[in-house]
Amino acid sequence: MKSPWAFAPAGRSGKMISTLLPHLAEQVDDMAFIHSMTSRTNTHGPGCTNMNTCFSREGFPSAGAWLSYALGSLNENLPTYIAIQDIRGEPPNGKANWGNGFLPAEHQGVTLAAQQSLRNLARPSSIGAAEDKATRAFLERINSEHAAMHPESDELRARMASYELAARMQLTPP
Amino acid sequence: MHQLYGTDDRNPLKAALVLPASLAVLDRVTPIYELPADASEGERRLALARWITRSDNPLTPRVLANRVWHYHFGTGIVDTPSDFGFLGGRPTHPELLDYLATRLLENGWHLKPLHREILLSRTYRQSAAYHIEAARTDKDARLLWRYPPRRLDAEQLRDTMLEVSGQLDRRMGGPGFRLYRFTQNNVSTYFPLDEPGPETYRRAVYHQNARASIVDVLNDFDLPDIAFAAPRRAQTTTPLQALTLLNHRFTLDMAAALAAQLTGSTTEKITAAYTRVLQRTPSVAECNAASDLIARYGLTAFCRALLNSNELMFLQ
Repeated sequence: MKSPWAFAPAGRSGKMISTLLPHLAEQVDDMAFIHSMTSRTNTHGPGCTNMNTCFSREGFPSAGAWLSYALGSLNENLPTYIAIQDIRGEPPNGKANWGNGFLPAEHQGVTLAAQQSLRNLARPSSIGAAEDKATRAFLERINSEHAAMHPESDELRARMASYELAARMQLTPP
Repeated sequence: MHQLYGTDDRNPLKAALVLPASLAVLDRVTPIYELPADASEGERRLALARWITRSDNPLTPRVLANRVWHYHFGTGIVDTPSDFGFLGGRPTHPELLDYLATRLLENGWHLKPLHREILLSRTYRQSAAYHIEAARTDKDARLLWRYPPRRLDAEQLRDTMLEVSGQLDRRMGGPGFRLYRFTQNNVSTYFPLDEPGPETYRRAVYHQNARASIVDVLNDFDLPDIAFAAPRRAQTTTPLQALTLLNHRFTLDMAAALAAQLTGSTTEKITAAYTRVLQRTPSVAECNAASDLIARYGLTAFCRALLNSNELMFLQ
């Protein structure tokens, strides 16, 4: 249906903006518009998901997941794809907006927020740095011996490498 | 319902009427049916159900038997459980698949006898021992020359950690539990629980999933997006998994619970922990290294490491 509210040209560009948004209209020359991004949904949740994944149904990879999948990472100390949340909480439909859909889980957005850095990144406060280091060294030792008994398994070594990357991430806080 | 090929969708009367019927493309798999346009919803559903389960439709029992096999071996005889068409995988053992499908029909579609037959087979009970000759032609053991090694699934990992720490609440039935809390105003916002208490120590099958919730241990370890039917799970290895399993309160609580249950001398404690977590006794060298760690930082540090070990995580 046609909008019941008037649209009027705004700014030097003369962009048509709803008269319901007079303050936004003043900023119109500094805004980018993606005219191809339209959807037939009339609700917030599916609309947000559509904006981020091209589908208003959930379960499809978000744009960041596709980039992570296609381009990988130039940085071996940080995740390829992070989602920074508004301080008031998640957008409608939450993690579907930065989900990996049917791509492997490593391409999902890692959620950060101003009030909450990476989950589980920090060493627990109950564990001292020396204890943490010694525990990891013991873990590394038992994993190495286990991997040596199964030289054919890439997965075991990949998981050991993931613990090393985790340790580097702790030293490179985002 | 009407068929619209670029027709004006505001005027559907111009379009051809679609009758309730089976997919014409499958007419060579199983006989087709067509109902009159005014058939009631109940009649339509019944006709579809009968068409899917006709005894001369080979596709349904094959797909079902393949899924049961897939859940036991990690990969199906057809490795694309939801696609038996041109783009799907070829069966590695077509005659076996047809045998299992036939057994399913003979057993009146009951799944338990099929599970039993698979689990009692020599193929299922063989070890995962590695043979270099066999691996040269079939690295991933698709032909099942050994039981394929696999990583525990998200739920299996969580249940296992609860079990080896003696914390698993085996009560059956009743309301589920949640590993998140949520707030509701215009939309619901979900927050993963930072301190999951004993009320959450039940099997993961009792977890009440919410579409928009994130649950550290389960989601990090490839629990599929629950908004989407996932015939197969991804198997990823990520640093986030390492961070979660090292630092999440759940691991720390399980490590402390395990440590609290070990009794006797240090060697006896180490042996008991190895027996519970890894189902074997430690070597002398392992015992010495563990004693060292325990002498300096206590039993919980040692238990935290064991719960993070590859040997617990992978079934070899």
